[in-house]
Amino acid sequence: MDIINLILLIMLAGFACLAVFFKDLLRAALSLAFMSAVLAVVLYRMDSPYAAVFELSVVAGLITVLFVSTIALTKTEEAVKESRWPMYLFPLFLVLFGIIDLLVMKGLFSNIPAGYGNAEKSFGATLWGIRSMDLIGQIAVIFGGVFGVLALFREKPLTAQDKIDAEKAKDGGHKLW
Amino acid sequence: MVMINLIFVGLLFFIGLYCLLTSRNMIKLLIGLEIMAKSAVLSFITAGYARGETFFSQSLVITFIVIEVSIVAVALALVINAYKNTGNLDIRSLTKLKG
Amino acid sequence: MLLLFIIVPLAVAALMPLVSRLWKGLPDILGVATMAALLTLSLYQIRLISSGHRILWDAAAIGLPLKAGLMLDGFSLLLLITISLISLFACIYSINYMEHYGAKGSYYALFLLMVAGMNGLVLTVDLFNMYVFLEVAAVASYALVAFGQKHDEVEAAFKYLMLSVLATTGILLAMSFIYLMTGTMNFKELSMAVGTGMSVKLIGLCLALFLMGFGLKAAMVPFHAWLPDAHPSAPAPISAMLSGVLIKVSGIYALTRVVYDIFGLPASVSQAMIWLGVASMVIGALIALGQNDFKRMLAYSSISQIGYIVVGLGLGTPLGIMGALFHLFNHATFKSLLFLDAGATEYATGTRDLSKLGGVGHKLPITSLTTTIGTFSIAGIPPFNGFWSKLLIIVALVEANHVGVAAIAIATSILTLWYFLLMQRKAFFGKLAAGLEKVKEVPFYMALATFCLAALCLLVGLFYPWVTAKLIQPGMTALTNSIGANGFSLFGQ
Repeated sequence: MDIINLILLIMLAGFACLAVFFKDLLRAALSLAFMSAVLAVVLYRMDSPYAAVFELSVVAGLITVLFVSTIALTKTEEAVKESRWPMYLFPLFLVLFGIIDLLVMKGLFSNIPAGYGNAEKSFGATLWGIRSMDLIGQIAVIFGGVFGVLALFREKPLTAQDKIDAEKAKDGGHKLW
Repeated sequence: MVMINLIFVGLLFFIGLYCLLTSRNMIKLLIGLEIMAKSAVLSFITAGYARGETFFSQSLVITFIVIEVSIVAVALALVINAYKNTGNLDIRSLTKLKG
Repeated sequence: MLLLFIIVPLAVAALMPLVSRLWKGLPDILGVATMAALLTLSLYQIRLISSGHRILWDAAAIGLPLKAGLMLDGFSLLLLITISLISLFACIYSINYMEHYGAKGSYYALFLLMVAGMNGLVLTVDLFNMYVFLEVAAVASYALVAFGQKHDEVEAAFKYLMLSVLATTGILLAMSFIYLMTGTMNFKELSMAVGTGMSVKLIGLCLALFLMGFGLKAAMVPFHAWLPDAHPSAPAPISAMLSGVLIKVSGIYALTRVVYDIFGLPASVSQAMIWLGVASMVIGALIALGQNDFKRMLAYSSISQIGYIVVGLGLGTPLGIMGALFHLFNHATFKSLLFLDAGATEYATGTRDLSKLGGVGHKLPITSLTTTIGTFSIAGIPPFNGFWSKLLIIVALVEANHVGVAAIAIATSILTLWYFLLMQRKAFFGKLAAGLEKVKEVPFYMALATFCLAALCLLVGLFYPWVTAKLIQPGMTALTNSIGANGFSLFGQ
């Protein structure tokens, strides 16, 4: 049993709970960032330094920046009214699910095959050689994100409805519906 | 280590799902999705570690992280648009359409 | 060669923002030309595939030291042709329809990215890669649903995004479990490794996650909540693409590939698919009956028609698969036709509320004629194409001793005819509603797109033996082979 790993995982779940529990969005977003940072350490300890650095820089860094700027842009006086009772019931559900999880997972993954450590040359060769179709997908999905954001932040367009309304008003000005 | 990680994968997925089901704030809903996404990252890396193929699992996770960023960017753009329309972030003010 | 189906739309999408600065009409021309080229390219593949072969493309073939592969068999080809065909007409329709939305460059870029994602999804041989292309198509579609930036559209897109990401996270977890136990993501290797490497309980969990995830993508009842919001809110050509193609590619195709190719259609999944299909069929049709919004009614009717396809695929008999695949193709043609017509009606009259429409039939002759053809097709009236595919599914159900389900399918078909005739009467026949005296027929390209699709509905219905032999039969062969080749049966069969 790896004690440090267990502590890190408990921290991970703890930050996740905090992110759910905090009413203040900024604190929730920061908890999420801390969660990513802890996850990065967990990944690093599992011989996955490249994934860890991505988790740290992109998820803990970039996504947090996106969240924080959105929170800043959408600041209102009145916070969203939420009933708090789901939050008070949360620990109960969490413990309940934890017990089920413990029992079920042991049954599901009873015979994990031992690692073969198959012949991979290097990380670069794996990513570019074996997963090259994923890279094309990555390019496409980045374009999708960029064009999506561009399309959603353009100036408000006149729709067919607006134009018809405008024409009707010009034609005779009688209101029809 | 593998077993305990898998148990936490389930736990994180549950925490994210709970957040998704109980929150009313649009940004909070996205945070729930992010927590669930982390459970998937942990699951893949654990799988790769257990099999001794960490290069392969890291490639998958990096692709997944890139996809995650794109989705979050589009989702936050939608949140800002909804905010411009309604003036708040309450998912309940988005009830012009009925499920 | 197969890589072109992904690279070409991707490259043109990347160029879009640049060319839209050069000349206003260029995005239209480029969009239509790209889709026409892809359609030609995919029709060209029929000759190679119809003899039952599958094409494998390897990066090594063009001298790259990569281990990337793509595969085209009858089933993928059917979807590939459907995607290109519907996209081409949606593009032609967009030339006029999207004029008022502005930002045509971004619109076509997102449209082409969606096409690239769907093409990648149907060509890939790798489970994780399938997820990647699923998300490419999905990210583009979220932005396209919200393209008008109005309240409804943004709301629908946000709901769609939330539920869809929830579904894909479930799918991803199932993939990671499969990877943990088998160590591969390749369909072919998985089909051999799954039976030996995974316990029955774990396979059950993964199948449940896949059914829920892809079921949500395909909008099967009870995972359908997002569709009646998202599909009507999008601009009409996008509604046509989403209802006509996207739910089939990212829902039905992906589910079928996973369930058939990897797990070999276990009996329990077959049962689950039949009952989910029946539920979608009946509930979709019943809710559609009460709708007063033209596009919303069409959206519920999509859920109902998806039910037929899922039932046919769940049966797993050659006839059932054939009916399902034929219905998939037919539904793509007539549902996108109907969505484009709904868009045309809205464009001409300014409303899609059926209670405010009325008697516009002689004002909009082409739209009204093509809507009638769409109605006859979807209700399964001979000789339109919907009749033959529904007949095949019902015969397959009777043949497999599911007489009760067959009766439900026939009843749903009658219900479909009823609510579509109700819609026709409210919108196009009867007395002209007040305020619609100045309605004019829609512009040329919109009329052209609907006319071509209507002609297609009729032609496919008239020449159905030829279409089934060339298009549907190879798809069926590919799927029955993958059940046969899989061999191992789960939970006893």
